[in-house]
Amino acid sequence: MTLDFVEPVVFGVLAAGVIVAGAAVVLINRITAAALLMAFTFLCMAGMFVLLGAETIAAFQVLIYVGAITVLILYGVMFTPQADRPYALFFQKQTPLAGVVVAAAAIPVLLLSFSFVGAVPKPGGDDLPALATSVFVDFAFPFEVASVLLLAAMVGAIVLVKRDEDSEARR
Amino acid sequence: MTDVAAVYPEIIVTIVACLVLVGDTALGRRRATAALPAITVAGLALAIVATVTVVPLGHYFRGFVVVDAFTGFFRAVFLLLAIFATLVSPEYLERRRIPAGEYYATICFSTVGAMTIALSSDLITLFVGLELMTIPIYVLAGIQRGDRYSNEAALKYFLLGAFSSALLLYGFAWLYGVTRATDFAAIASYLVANGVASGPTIVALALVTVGLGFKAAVVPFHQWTPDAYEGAPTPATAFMSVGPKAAAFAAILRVLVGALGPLAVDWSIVIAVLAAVTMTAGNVVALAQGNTKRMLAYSSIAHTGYILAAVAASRAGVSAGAAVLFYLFAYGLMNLGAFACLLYVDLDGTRGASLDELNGFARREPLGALAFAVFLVSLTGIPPTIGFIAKFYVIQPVLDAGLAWLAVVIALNAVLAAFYYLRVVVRMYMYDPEGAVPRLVSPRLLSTSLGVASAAVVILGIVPNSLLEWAQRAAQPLVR
Repeated sequence: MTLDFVEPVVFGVLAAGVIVAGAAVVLINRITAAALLMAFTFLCMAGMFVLLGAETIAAFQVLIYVGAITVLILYGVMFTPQADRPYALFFQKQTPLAGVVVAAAAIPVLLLSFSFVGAVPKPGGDDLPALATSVFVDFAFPFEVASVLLLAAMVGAIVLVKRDEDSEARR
Repeated sequence: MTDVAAVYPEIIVTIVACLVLVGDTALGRRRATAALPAITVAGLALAIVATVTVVPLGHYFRGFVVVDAFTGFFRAVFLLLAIFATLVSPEYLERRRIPAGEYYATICFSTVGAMTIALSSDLITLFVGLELMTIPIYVLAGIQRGDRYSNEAALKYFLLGAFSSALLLYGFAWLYGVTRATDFAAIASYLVANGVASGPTIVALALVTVGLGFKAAVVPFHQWTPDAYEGAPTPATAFMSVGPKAAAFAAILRVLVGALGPLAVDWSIVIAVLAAVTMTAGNVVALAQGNTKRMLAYSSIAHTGYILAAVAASRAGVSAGAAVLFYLFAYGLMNLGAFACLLYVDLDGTRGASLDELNGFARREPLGALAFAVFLVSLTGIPPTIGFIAKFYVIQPVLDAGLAWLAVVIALNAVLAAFYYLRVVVRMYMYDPEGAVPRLVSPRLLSTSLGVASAAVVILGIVPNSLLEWAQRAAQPLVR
């Protein structure tokens, strides 16, 4: 018995997950639920990467998007005062216009995506050494400079937001 | 290991930045005020020594880094400017309660970024370096958090800087799409092989020109400059107006002349027009300013125009590149000095000095006024100062490149600029101070470093040959 049918089925499930959860993120009124659904779309995307044989990217997708970014958004929700009325009200007037804009952007993408039908993804697996080589050998210098950049940005962010010791002491 | 040895100066400056940050907390406030600038200056000086090194010229890190005479020149210029900026700052920082450790570390980080631009031989390295150079500058602009204008300066600079980075990156993406290379040499050889500029190449060229134009404050992409320069704390302005400007021109030389050199026919006339517009607009608006700090901000835009004129003349060969480098060196010295002279009168608030406040300044602070006068005379371009020599060297390649009209515009602008620079000198020496004058600050370190710098402005104006030869050697790698 051949298992060829498994891959399209899994893809179908994941694609449905991405689309349904993505639509729900936009349509749903409760912001916490929307954030969690967004995490779910990210998770489905990670599944897609696994399907394509890019396990390392899938792992990063889970670590960065499902883990860090979702937690960041949930913290953001937690620290923001929530209004009682549903915020969907604000968007009602713009719905038709938004529909036009989305259609204008989506239809070309949709048409374009059919041009990839014949393309066969490369056999996957074992992409970690390739990634490590490109980060730590080929692109070593820009990578290291980028890490200095992050350090500088972090120092800068702390300088700009930390409490003023002098004014604290005066109080 | 030679790869690592090729970037010793950058590594040293990064370590200095970290040392300063750690030292700030470890030493305690009193000892830190004296020790931090000393550590910074010593570290930067060590990095200058390391630029004169060991590794043979060539490519390192798989072609992402190039060490050549151009790299060496800019490394030295950035480090010298950082040292100068560090030396004029301590008293101001203490008076204003600006966090000193973070201030010096930020200058060091920005310098590492600028040096990375100079040694880049690839779009990726260049972009990462550009970001590492500018992001600390946003912080520097806003480092005086209690001040409304400082906040405004940082925010405006950040928003427009991020916008221009996006444009530049988009241009790089187009360039990569067209040439399938990020390496400058590979891009240039693709463009040579494929001849005439096509539609996508023009899009890439336009985006890159606009992106770099924002970074260098070229009119009409200069709107952030006056507010950012005026609002930032004065020593930060002094550094901002020269370090990032020199770095932006290093990027312009590497990208436009280095990688996009084969398209020079297409961009040189655009750059020439931009240069003419920039110097004229900068000078005309500077005429109308009553605040010296804002006037110097507009004057720095005008100087961008002069430097850009030399870029436009790049088909004249080495002399054009050398003119850019020489002018950048001269501009760095005299503009940083001129902004730093405002520190004497900058008692409260970061708004610089109105012209009236400078009345009779010479009688109150003779040496400071003398230094200020020297810098202003040099900015005007009157001999025997380095500013005159720099303008002289710019006009020569502009004429050689057949841009006689641009040379005329430069000359007319120099006359226009003389009015507002010399107006300040006249007020310092020939007017009496009005009413109750606030006491001046008389910081010793500031006066000493300004003295050395103004002496250098005059001496290099009389014997510019060795500097010019150095600039010519440094411009050599850009010529094919």
